[in-house]
Amino acid sequence: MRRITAVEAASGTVLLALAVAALAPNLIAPGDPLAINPLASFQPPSFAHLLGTDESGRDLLTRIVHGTAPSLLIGVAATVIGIGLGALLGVAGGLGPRWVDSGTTRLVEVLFAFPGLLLALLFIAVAGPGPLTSTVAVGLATAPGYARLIRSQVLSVRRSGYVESAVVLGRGWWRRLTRHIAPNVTSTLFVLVTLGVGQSIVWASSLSYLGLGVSPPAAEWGAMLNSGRTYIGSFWWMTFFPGLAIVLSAASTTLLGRSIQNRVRT
Amino acid sequence: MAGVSLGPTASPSPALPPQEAANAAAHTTASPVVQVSGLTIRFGAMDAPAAVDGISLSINAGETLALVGESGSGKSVTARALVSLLGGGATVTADVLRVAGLDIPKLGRRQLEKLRGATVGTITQDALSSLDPLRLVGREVDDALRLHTSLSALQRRTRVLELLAEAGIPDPRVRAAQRSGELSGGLRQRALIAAALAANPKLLVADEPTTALDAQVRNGILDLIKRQADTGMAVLLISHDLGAVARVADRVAVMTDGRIVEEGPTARVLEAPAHEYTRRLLAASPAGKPRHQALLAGITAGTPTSGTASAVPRPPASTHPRPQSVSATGSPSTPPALQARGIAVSFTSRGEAPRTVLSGLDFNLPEGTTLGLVGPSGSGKTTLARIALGLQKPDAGELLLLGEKWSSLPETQRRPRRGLIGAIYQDPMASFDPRFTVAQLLTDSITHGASTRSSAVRPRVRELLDSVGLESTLAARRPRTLSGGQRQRVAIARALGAEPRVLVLDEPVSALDVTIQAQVLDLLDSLQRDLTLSYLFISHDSDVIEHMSDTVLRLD
Repeated sequence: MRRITAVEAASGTVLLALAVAALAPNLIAPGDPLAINPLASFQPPSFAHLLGTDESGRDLLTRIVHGTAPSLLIGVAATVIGIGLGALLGVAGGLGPRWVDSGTTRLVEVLFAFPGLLLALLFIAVAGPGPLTSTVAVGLATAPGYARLIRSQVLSVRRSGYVESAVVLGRGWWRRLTRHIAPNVTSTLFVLVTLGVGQSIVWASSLSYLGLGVSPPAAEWGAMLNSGRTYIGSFWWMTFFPGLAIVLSAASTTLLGRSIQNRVRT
Repeated sequence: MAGVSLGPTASPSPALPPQEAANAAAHTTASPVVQVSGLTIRFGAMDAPAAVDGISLSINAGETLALVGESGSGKSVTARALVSLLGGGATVTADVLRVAGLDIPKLGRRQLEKLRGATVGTITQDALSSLDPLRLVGREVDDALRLHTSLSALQRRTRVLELLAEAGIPDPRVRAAQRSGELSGGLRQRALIAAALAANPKLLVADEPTTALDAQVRNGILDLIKRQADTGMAVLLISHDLGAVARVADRVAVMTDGRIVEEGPTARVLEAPAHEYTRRLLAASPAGKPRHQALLAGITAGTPTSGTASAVPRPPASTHPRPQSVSATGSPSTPPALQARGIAVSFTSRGEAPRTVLSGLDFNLPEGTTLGLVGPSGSGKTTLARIALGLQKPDAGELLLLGEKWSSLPETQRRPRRGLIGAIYQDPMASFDPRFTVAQLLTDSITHGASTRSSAVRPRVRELLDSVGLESTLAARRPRTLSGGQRQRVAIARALGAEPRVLVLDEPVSALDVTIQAQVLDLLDSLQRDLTLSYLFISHDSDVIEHMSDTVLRLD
């Protein structure tokens, strides 16, 4: 086993902090994220308000910490939906008869033709805005990519020498699937998940920013970005810190995913 | 350091052995084409173990020196040092390193480029990767002429055709306009030789030139190389194939662990080897060894003999009356292990006429015997193996397993009987699930797929490892941490776990070194006798086939 690198240590620390913020926000920021204080609006970062305050005098640090759970939840849930759908299509294509494979492959290609965000907007236009629909929308938008990767992985495992020797040893298709194909495909899926969460967090925040996901005054990073947008010229901290939170969480999950990928490969 | 490498048993200083000096005089050349002494090559740090450790050798014009040894012995590295192709990671030191009078370490880049190709021609094992798949064969040969001669385009065109014809390629005009992928393995190797010889080099380096080829093609290539030496070229032949060496080499140098342990005239070294390692290498070769003769008998120190705890070795005579002819054993009451009746297979690709691979094939494999399957690539050996393993159906005819229907069964009825026939492949790694340890692989096989972790079969796992000569401590390891020979033993143990009656062995020893190959062949032979196994044995190596088979079936 190689030693832990600086990148791995740093992204691990960020993820740990995010986990604490998501599960027990009051440990870090005991205040109320929705408590307004008009007298203290637009305060720059100071000892009283480490990251400053917004237009209603709400403490930004408190809001960012309390916003971790909804922001990450949307990212993780969207990834789960995307990979779940992708796995369904990919496994059906990789294992099923030829007509199923060509059917799913065509479907995935059509979905691919749309930019992911456009697909998500299309879904929201039909289902109406809200945190749930934006989660599903991001999941839908990312599914085609996963479907394609999973299908090729399933195919390569299915045609591998060890699955063939399982046939020669007399193993039925159920045993080949559960003992060889599924475990070998999931071990690569795990890496995909860690890489995908970062992407989904960004996308979910984008939808909230557009006002299609979580809506104000709830504390969510994308929504906070949106409310700070009006004041970006004068009060930079209102957009900078929520943006930093999005970048840090997306970057650290992605970097950790990369290094896991490298370790698995070697 | 240089002197140390030559053991007391080796011939005197290689610079001027009396007999070779006489040979050289016949070709009237003053100094040897290749002169090497005290050559040491290291990779990485200066204190790393030397890949080549102070060797000395010389080759005269018109002489063929064979460098023999197993993988990792340093023979290919030595050859690459002659043309300074080792790359930046290598440290090369030598007292003398001269080719055709040129001091190799002192040459600049331009001079080295001239050396390669013009002065030294090189043939490698894998002609497919040495030839550019996108370029015409004629262009490949033409390159050497264009770079290293002053011929005009027209002269070169006729010369290319001459060279291809000299290399034994029929229809050179047609072949020159094809790409390497359209040529068979043998023709590709010949085209590579034509390119290597184009600039009329003084030294030809042939690094395992025949390894991937079947016997007939192999002999043709060797004769072609031999003809070059007869015209006065110096040849360095690198091979682990002692048959090839005996055919073409004047002198043999035996290498192991980066040192030359023995050197001398071919006949002397092969018939009266002085060094222990040479003796072992010779013993390991299956060439000319009768069936059931253990290759490594008496020299198997450290190699556990098989049939230890798992099976009681029966005297071979009782079960095995040494069948020599096609009319093999098997009393009429016991059905043959495998029986083929008129098997035919052809492949159709869109827009082309169907290509017949097998047509009307009949054979019998009596219980407890081996049917050897030889033939050039594309002759249907592997197709037949796949039919035997129930992975493919023949277009016509059928295959019976132990007297009962097999190839014609639907999969659901075949599956319960699949344990009766097992498979061993050339590359065992590909047939192991990468997540499994040795113990899990064996447990899966023993329990017929019921479990991979059952502790109830642990004694049986140990027994199987023991029967293939592996330590039971290996059970916890993953195959990728094992050596090639160990992996193949694990593959054999796994096949045995399902208690098969027939094994299909598809090139089982082709990727192994000679001594490891001998160990695996000895193991297979004793397992066959102990467990009355029947083998369908596929190999392109006719020596291996002759040694292992009771009956030989040639496909072409």
